[in-house]
Amino acid sequence: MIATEEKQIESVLQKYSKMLYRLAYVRTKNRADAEDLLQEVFLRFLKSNIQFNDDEHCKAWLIRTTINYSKNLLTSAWFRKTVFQEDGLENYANVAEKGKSDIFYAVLELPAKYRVIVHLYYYEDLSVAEISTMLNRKESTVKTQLYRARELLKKKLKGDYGYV
Amino acid sequence: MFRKQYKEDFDSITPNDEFINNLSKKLVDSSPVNRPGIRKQLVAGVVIAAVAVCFLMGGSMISQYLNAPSFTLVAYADDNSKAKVSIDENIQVKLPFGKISRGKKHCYIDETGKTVHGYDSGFEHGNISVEGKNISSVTYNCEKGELYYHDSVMEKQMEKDGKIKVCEFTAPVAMVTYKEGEANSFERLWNEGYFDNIKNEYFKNKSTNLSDYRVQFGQTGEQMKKGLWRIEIYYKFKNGYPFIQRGKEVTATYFEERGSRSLEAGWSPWYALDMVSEYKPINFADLPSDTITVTVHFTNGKTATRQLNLSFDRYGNLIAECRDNQ
Repeated sequence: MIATEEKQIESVLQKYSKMLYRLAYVRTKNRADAEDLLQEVFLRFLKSNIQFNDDEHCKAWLIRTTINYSKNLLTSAWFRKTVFQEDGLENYANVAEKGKSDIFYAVLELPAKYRVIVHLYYYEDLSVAEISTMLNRKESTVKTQLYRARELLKKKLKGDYGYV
Repeated sequence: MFRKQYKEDFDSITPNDEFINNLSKKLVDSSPVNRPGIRKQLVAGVVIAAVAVCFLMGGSMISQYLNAPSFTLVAYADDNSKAKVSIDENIQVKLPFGKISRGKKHCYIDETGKTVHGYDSGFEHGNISVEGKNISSVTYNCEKGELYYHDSVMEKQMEKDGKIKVCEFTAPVAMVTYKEGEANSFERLWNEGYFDNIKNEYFKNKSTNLSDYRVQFGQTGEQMKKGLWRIEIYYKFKNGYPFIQRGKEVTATYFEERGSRSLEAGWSPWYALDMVSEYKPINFADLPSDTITVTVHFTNGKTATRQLNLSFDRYGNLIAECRDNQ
């Protein structure tokens, strides 16, 4: 029984840690905060003791919790003062990663809510309908945010990389 | 091109192994069963519970048929199972889910080229359920919103029986594309016999007409590096998956393995979200309320019904009030 629970924790961690870490990184733009976020999400997962219907339910819960908790982090006074201004400083991405393409930096310069949708759509290959369900937003809202994000990316990338 | 480059850039954004190992240890140590004293208590608890169950079983089987059936309505937030609220009769209660909100103003160009103005809108998902003894199923009806029920037990069984996915295989990106109409489209190659090995292996005594199935293309970062598509072929269900009920009425069945959580149903107020999205001032308290009729079927054949009125306060919180209909 105990061994089973430990195995389950390890299995969920192995299965979703990379996906959630990337999502956390997209939200926080730095690895240290992404690690903190990931740790908090898994501790909540452990405490919550939710019975998930299936893998998709579990994945959706983890994604939503990552986004919700990152909102708390992004709005904390310390984070605002010390890391970056969420919607300001459009041309400044506080990113320590080197050697990435322009796309990487352009996406990280987007407002946070657009970054998440772009990431789920382009990296996780989720459809608009799936993102809508996962984030509890209307499909039309997701479509609009994706449209706006693409428009901003087109401007930033000046037509490179073909159709966004 | 964009997607490919984006994936390449983010493939290397991974947590380091040491961090994951430490986190894994921390999680296992924080697990409730690993806290000091808990294991002993667990064993003692199991013994006491087993004795108590034996002692009570005889009595409860008799009382089940003597007592009037009753149940309690409860609501759960989707993101934290501890956020459970009991909905007592004739008392307004704020639910732990269901907050409706309006975001930023937006506009987009629709399919006809018309500019549409509106607001982002959001709704925190959660579930309504019932708690009580000897419940066999629960039927929920609503007037304005949409109800949702996922029968995970049926889904698992269908998966086990191979009734959902026909097969999954990989094919080189250079060979096949998901874009219809192109020379190397999957449909064309399928019809021309390029995938006869797949047909022979998985489609014996089945239609090989692709329109009878749902084909899904996907790629993990690893598959992308190797230049492969992951192609999954699923059965097509005319009226959606049989294990998912969605609409004005859903019926949840009690399953021992999931306990009272198997009776949960979701509720989405699309009608209210449409109004919140509209490009005009809104007061959440003015949004129309919805009524959910909850009919509980007990194992002794009796039923009990309650009505749940759902409305929003001025801050967008979901407020419930329950009325007995017995």
